[in-house]
Amino acid sequence: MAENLANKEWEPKFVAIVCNWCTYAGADLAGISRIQYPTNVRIIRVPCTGRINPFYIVKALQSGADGVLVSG
Amino acid sequence: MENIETKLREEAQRLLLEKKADVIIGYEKGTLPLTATPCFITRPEEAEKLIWNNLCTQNLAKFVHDLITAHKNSQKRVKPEDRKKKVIGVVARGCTTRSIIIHLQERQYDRGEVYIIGVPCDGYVESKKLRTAAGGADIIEGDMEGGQIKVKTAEGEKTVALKEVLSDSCRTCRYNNPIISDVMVGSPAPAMNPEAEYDQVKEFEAKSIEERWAYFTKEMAKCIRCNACRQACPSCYCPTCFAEQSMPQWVGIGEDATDTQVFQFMRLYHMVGRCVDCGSCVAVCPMGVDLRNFLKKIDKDCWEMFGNRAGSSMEDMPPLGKFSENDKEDFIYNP
Repeated sequence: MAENLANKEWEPKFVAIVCNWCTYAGADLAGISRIQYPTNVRIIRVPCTGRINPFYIVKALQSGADGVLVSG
Repeated sequence: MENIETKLREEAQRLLLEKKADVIIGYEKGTLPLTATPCFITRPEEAEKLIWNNLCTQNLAKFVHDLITAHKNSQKRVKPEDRKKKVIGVVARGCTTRSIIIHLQERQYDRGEVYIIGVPCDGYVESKKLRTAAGGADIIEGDMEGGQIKVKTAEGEKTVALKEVLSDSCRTCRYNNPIISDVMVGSPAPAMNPEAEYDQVKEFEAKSIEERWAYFTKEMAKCIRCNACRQACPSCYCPTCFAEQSMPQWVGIGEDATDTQVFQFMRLYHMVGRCVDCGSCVAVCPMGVDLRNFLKKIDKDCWEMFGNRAGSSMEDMPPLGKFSENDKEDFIYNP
C-alpha cells in the first residue's frame, strides 16, 4: 500500500457492491445520460444492500481490491 | 481458597443429591503438574474431585452450551410430552457468567436450564507465562502456596510470584465476581485493576497504520489454523462455522497467509459485543498469537460507540442486535 501511494501513476481498483433499486439504477441512468465514470471501479449488483455479508467485503479485499464501496 | 473448595464440593454434592442439577461442570486436578482441567460430575460422591484455585483456566460456559445443545438434539425425536429437561450446574467465575449472559441474551437456552454456582476469582495462571518464567523447560513438579508458585523443572527449582504469571485478561479484569448466580460460594474477591483495561490498546492505536498492519500480519503468520481459539470460545457456537463452509468457501484450506488473515479477521469481527475477555482463546493457542490485543480493541470500540460491555448485565440487548435513537451517527458526515 505504502509503495503504491508513492507511485503517482498508480490507480486503485475498487469493487462497488450496489443495490439494484437505487445505486445501480443511478449508475444505469448515468450510462443512459452518457456521463463518463472512472473505469477502475467494478460494479457488483445485489438485490438489496441488506443482502451483503461482511465476508463479501473481506473477500474482495483479500482478492486484491484496494477498496470496497457499499452503496444502496 | 481451601475454604471455597470445601464449600464448593458440599454445594455440588447437595445439588446432585437434591436432583437440582443433572450434571455439574467444574474443574479437577490436571494430569500435568500445575494444571486444572474441566470435569463433568454426575454422581454426588464424585464431588470430591472438584477444585477451585488459580490454575482453573478455561471458560466453562462453552461446555454449558455444548451439553444443552447436545441434549436438545437428542430430544428432537422424543414425543413432546416425554421430553426431559436437563439442568446443568456450572462452577462460574465472573467471565463465565458473562458468557452465560450472552448465551441467554441470544436465546440459546433458558435461565432455568443452568444452575450457576458463583465463585469469586482472583485471576488464573497463564501456562505459557509460567513456563517462560520457570525457564522454558517442561515443569516436572509444582506447588502453589500463598501467592508463590514453586516450580521444579529439569533445569532446577524456581519460585515465581503468582502476580507475575497471571493472565493479561485477569490483571485488568473488571468483573471478577459472578454477575448472576443461583448460589454464591465464598466472599467476593477484591477488585483487580480495571482502569488499566485499555492501556495496551491505546498504545497500539497510537501506532501508524503501517506499523499496525505489520503487527497484524506478523501475529497472523504464527497462526496454524488449528481452530483451538474457536473451540475454546464460548461465543463461537455456530453449528457450522464459516471456516468449514464449502458453498461458498469463505476461507481457503491451503496455507495461504491471506486465508489465515481472513479467518482470524472474521472471527474477530464476530466477537463484536460478544467477547468477554476471558482469555480462553489466548490460553489454548499453541502458537502464542496475540489475539487479545485485537479483541480488546473491538471491545473498546463497542464500549465507546454503544456504551456496552459484553455480558455485563442481563437487561442489556446485544449491541449489534438493537437500535437506539441515541446511537452515534458521527460516521455519517458531509465531506
